[in-house]
Amino acid sequence: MNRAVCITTWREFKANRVRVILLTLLFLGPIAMFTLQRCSNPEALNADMLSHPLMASFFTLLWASGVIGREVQNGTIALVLARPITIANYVVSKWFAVGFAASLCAVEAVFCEHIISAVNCPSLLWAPEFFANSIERIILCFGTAAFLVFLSSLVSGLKDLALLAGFAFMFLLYSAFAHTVYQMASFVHLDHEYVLHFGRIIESLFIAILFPYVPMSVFLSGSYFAYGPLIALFTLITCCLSCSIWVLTHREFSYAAD
Amino acid sequence: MQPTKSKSTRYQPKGLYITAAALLTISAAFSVSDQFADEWLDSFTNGLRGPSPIQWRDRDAALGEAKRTKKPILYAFLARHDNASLQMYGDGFHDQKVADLINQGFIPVRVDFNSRDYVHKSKLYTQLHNQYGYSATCELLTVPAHMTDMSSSDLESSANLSEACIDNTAGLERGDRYNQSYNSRYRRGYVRSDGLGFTNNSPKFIGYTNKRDLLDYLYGAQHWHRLPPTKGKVAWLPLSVASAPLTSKPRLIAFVDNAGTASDNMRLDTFWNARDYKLINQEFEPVLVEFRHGDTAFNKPLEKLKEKYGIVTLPALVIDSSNFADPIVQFGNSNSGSTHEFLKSAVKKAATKL
Repeated sequence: MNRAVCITTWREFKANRVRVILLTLLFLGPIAMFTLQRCSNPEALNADMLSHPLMASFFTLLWASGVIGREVQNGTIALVLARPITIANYVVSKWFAVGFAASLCAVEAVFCEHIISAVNCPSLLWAPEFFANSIERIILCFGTAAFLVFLSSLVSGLKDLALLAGFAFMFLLYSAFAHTVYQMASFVHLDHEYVLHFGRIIESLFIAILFPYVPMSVFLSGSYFAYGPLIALFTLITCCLSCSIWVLTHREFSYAAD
Repeated sequence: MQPTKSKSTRYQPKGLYITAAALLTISAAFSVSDQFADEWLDSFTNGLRGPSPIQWRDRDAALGEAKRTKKPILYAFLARHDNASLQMYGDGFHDQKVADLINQGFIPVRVDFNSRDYVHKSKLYTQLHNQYGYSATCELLTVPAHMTDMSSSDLESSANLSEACIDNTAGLERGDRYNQSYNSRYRRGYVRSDGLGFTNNSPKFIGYTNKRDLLDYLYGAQHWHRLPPTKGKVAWLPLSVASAPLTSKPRLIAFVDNAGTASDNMRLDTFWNARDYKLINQEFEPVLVEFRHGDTAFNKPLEKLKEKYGIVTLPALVIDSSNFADPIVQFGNSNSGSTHEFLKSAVKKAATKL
């Protein structure tokens, strides 16, 4: 991992005012809503009212959109790669920079909510839900960051957002028409049950990519270890980074802006 | 020329590629195993395996035990691919307080499903789905010992019917029970915006929120079915009046069960409706004959009254008067308006001498 690439990524983000404003809104919005909830209904104080770990995905989206694509677009990637750094190192550094920064924001946000809870109800200070929520956010950040870095390596500029929207749209289409497809399978003499099983595999693939969630409270309780979600997370990260490195190593970069 | 030690910019990290390929193969194997081969890789893919501090029973044993011990059955419907089920199992059921509460106060029955069960629809799945209509993901359902033959709508209805639940009587007295919260005093749980949690003393706990909610639900589930259901605002006379000779006032004998939607609805629609209970208190000698569902010993003496008036199903309203040749009977719970008409016509008929 290259420290300079990480720092450049963070600095570049800081220089973009639109992103900083969006990040501030994303940070303050849930906290404001949460504080209002606490004030209007103090009886219902419950650690479970912490905002959903899915919020971390939005932080990651802000940090990761165009993380490689922008450098490809304006030609700086060729300058970066002129230094003694491999593409593999560059991609992993970008992934770490995005994952770490998004995790920091996401955990800070949940920490603020937790402090507001604890001020109102001190017994919630050591509530395990807070720790589980924080770890789930970190995992989500690094998982989603890997996928977004991969998308960003495919195209230049911010076109990765369009790819992501297309992917999410495909999932929506799949959800809407899956049952019609299952029924159509019976018309072409395919075993309906097997089509349904394949459908479920595709569905779990979509979910694993878009929402790499690992239920941490299960692991924190010290009960039986569920391997499935954890292996899915590591698969997502390694596959996305591998694909991203492979794509970039087979691509020519120009010093000129795209 | 000495070869340089630094790697090429386009260096291919083979280790990462091999790891990714291996993990992808394992993930694919897990998915295929989950969908197409139940037992293959089951110990790895199934997060609901492993030791449990809860003493689970199978359904047949639980039904027998419920009859003997009168403890409620707690069904835990868990799906192995569902995150909420994993949390319920790992976080909830492995908590010592939760486990102690379940082992002492309930007869726990675990119903696990994998993806294949949705398709193949095992006998157990069909039985339970037909009776309780659950969604087959993460759900807890408390079935009291005397209500094992009832549906989930009966359970939900009876779970909210104790006298202690009723505080907002204005809606009920207007005959508008659907738009009124009549059990907010007993409110313990809540439903989150995402539909998880439980409402009041509902028999269901859907999804998994956290341990405190689960404990709240279990405390409530231990008690709601032990509380007597409401008798409304009718000034009921003692049961012995039902067998006494008729007086000048017509006698209204209401036959109701202590559980089940039909009887519950009659209690709310008629016994709480101001228009009806005022008429009953003014014009009739009201007697409530309350059966205990499934308690043969308790119901035996009451069966004679049932036979006397030819009642075959509960609930029923019987009106008898010295002016009637035969008592008139309303079987089942008709809607509030029809019951009111039935009572009014009985009053009119009783006023007319034979």
